[in-house]
Amino acid sequence: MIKAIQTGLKKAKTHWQISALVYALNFVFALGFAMAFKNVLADEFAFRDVSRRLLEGFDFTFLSDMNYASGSVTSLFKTLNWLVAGYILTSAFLSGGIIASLRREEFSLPDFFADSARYVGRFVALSAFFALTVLAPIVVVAIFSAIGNAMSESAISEAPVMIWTVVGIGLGAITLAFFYLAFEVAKFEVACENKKPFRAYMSAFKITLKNIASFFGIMLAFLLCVGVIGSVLHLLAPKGETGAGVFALALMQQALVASRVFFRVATMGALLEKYREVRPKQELAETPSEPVSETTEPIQEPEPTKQAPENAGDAEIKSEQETK
Amino acid sequence: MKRITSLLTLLLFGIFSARAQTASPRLANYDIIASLDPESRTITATEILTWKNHSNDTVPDLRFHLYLNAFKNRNSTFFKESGGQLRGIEPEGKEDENIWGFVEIESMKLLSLNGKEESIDLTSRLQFIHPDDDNKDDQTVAQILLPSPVLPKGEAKLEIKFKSKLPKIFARTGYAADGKFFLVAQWFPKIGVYESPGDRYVPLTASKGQWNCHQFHGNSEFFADFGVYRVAITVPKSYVVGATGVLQSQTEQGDLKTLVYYQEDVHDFAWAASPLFQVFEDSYKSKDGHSIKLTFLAQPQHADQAERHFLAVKNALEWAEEWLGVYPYSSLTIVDPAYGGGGAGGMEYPTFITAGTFWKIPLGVKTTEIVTVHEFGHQYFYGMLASNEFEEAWLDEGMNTWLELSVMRRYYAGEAGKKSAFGDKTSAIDFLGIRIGDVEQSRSGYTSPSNAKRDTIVKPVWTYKRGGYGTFSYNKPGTMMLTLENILGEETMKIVMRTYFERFKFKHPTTRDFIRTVNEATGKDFTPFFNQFLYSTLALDYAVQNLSNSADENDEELEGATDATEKKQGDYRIKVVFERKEEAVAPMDILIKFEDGTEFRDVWDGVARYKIYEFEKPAKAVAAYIDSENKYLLDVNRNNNALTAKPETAGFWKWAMNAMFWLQNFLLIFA
Ligand SMILES: [Zn+2]
Repeated sequence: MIKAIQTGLKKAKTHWQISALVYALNFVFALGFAMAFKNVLADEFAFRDVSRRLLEGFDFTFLSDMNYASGSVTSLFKTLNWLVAGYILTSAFLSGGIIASLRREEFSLPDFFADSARYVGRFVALSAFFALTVLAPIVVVAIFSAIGNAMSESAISEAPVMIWTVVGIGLGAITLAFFYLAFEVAKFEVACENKKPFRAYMSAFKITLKNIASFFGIMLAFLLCVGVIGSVLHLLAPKGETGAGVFALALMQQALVASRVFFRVATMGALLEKYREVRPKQELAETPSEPVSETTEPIQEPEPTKQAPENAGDAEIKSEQETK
Repeated sequence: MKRITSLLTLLLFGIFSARAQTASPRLANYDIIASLDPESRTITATEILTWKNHSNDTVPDLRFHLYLNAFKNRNSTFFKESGGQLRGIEPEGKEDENIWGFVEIESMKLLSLNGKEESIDLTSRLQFIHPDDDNKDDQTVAQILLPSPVLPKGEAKLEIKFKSKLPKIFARTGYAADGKFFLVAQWFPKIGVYESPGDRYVPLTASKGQWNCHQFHGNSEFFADFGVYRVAITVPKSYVVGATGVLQSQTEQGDLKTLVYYQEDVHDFAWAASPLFQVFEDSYKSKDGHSIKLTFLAQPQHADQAERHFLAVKNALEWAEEWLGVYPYSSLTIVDPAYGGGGAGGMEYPTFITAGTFWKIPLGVKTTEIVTVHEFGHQYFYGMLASNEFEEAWLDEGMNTWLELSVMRRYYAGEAGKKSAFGDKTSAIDFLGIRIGDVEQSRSGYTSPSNAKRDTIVKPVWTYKRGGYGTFSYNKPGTMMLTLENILGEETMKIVMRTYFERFKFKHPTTRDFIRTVNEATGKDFTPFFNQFLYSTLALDYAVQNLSNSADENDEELEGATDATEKKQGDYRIKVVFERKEEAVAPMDILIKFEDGTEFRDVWDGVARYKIYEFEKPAKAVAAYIDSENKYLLDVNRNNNALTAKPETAGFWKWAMNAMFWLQNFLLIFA
């Protein structure tokens, strides 16, 4: 696991362009939302001496009066839905490029987009599966709250009921994290093994379940890094009560987002490393016989040390297993 | 001997003169012996009621509230009005379970009438009536025709044997925690209020008075005469009891114990019993020097919150004694309802309140304090100022909301909050970056778009449009009282409220009494103010409509100049337009600020639709404000109360950047 983490960090560093791309994508989409959000406020209130109040922080009366005057405050979020949808699609598109790039020694932009284009159909399908699995944690939370409700019938204190609910939410979060990891592994299965989305997801479940400790360990290690950086930035963050203060605050927020992106790429790199190490052998034999149409696609740019991407992972795995 | 006789005379004289000066008229006096059987959730009791006819009428009948019958089935008026739920809580369980409650009068006997001893069984004369609606199934009011009337200033003494089956708590009263928690309220046959000509709204010219004895409604339950209560309560030994009044004695008989409570000058009696309670005690020294014993009956899981409850009550006591008058009683009991008994929380009874909290509630979530302060406040608005909650709920709930907001603002708003427009930004919630003042929260309950013009404040409580009760009995009047305070200033408002309290404590004040008090105490006529905000649906919204700085026509080239100080007098033609956007009218403070630091202030009577101010000045106007002193919290849209010459957007960027940051983090889930 430590080795995988180190490899992930190294990959994120040498392939900094991936982080830059993901951050740029994230920034552009979010900025689109932020501009619309700001414009709704500025169009209505730029001359209303309201800015001063909002600089001081959360202003409930401003919101409730805005709600009174225009019937709701949802106009602030009118761009949100299509922006999120657009982002999810775009990031599904980029995933192929990211994973393929992480497998290479060098980063190349043309390769990146070629790989992105190659896998986009299957990755969108994977995203759809992932969206479905998000329901699972909801089921977990629902079960626990049902149990909590049943307990409350005879309970004389809300404490156990509340604890039960919190445990339910915690388990729901862990379930979600598990599906999330499986989603990542499924992407590897598509990119490395050229599998169809559903089969990829199925074997990804198996692999994730078998290696749950190390996969979670990798994820938590990088989350911890983000947590530490976030806490430090939070301590240093200015209140943002002047124009310059807001600018400084925004810079720190972006620094945190950028570091999250970096560690996100490192996580993928580390998971990929671990995945290559632990991928079941029997899968290797199956790979060539997989009737996947994409295998017939021309290979755009073979990696320097390998013949073809499909075999690249295998080669590395073999060599790693030999050294064990 | 002589000396002793004279001492005795003195003593007797003392007693009689004291009796002549009792705090309240003591018209309805109760002596109750009650025994709780937790297994069957039933109270068996005998009540001796002594009722005095304070009027000059001969009164042929008596009327009683039998409020537990509101929980008898789904056909009661209370049940129909509340839609079978209160504050989102519904009665749970199957119909055949022990969920319903009722009071059954087993016998009613006349013991004496107009000073003459009797022994007449009245039980068969009892009949249910429905003074407020034609719901034949409602059994919350009963009438009894006496064999002969109660004479003017006469007295009737009755013995009533009754059984009260308590409902499973979903609203106000009953049992919870599988019979380990009882909140016993509205549980005994309680006589109505006989109003003689001149009382409240009965015209002085009326030939006769009348009973005021409303049914139990979805949103109100209180109107009763003051009296003296002595109540003996028998419960299993393991049960801890809290009740209205002061504990006089406690005796044990086998597995049972009997506690006797006594209280003068109150108009109701409630109690709680539970083996779960942890008892906390504290005390408060009243302004007049007497000690008030504070008792908090906590659920074990809330034991660490005793201090929060006590502090809330002490803060409220300090404020109320300063703004209204002395709390005359010597006890106050705060009951923390058991889990599942929350429907009985947040209620007020004389010297006895129910609060509401939850396990590990963060300090920044101040609902615990809000509820405790609010229910304590009712000791004044309801307890001593015993208005008719059915007909003018705002005198209880709205005035008390003002008390609650004032206390929360003063003790819980923090330094930052105190500097804001309403002096409150954190007293309801100050948690995870969300800051909401209790004042803000209450005001927004009134100014939400569907509510502001839907109803009037003063009207019988059961005639509010759906959802209107909270808005027009709590939020709007609370906001109106704060507005009144801002208009009058703190010292004048104190005089008004102290006068109101002194004049009407232990009486049944009306809206009319309050308005008269305001007018007399201030020497000004506030009737138009109250007519608009209490008796009409008119909303108030003033705005700065336009602000323009144009260069003088014969000096056009100056328009682009940046340094105003170099220009001659009359360089700018400044026009500021103020607008009345809604129908309510009020005088408005006007403030116009100029570039050179000068200010123009005025008071606009607010009558016309528009008010235009024009200036010829060497300095441009930079900003204009209406209601510049933030007096009118009733103004439904304060975002239009200012207009600046230059745009300012830094604050919008701040919110946009924060929103963007959270969105970015969310999006990263998808990589
Ligand atoms: Zn209340």
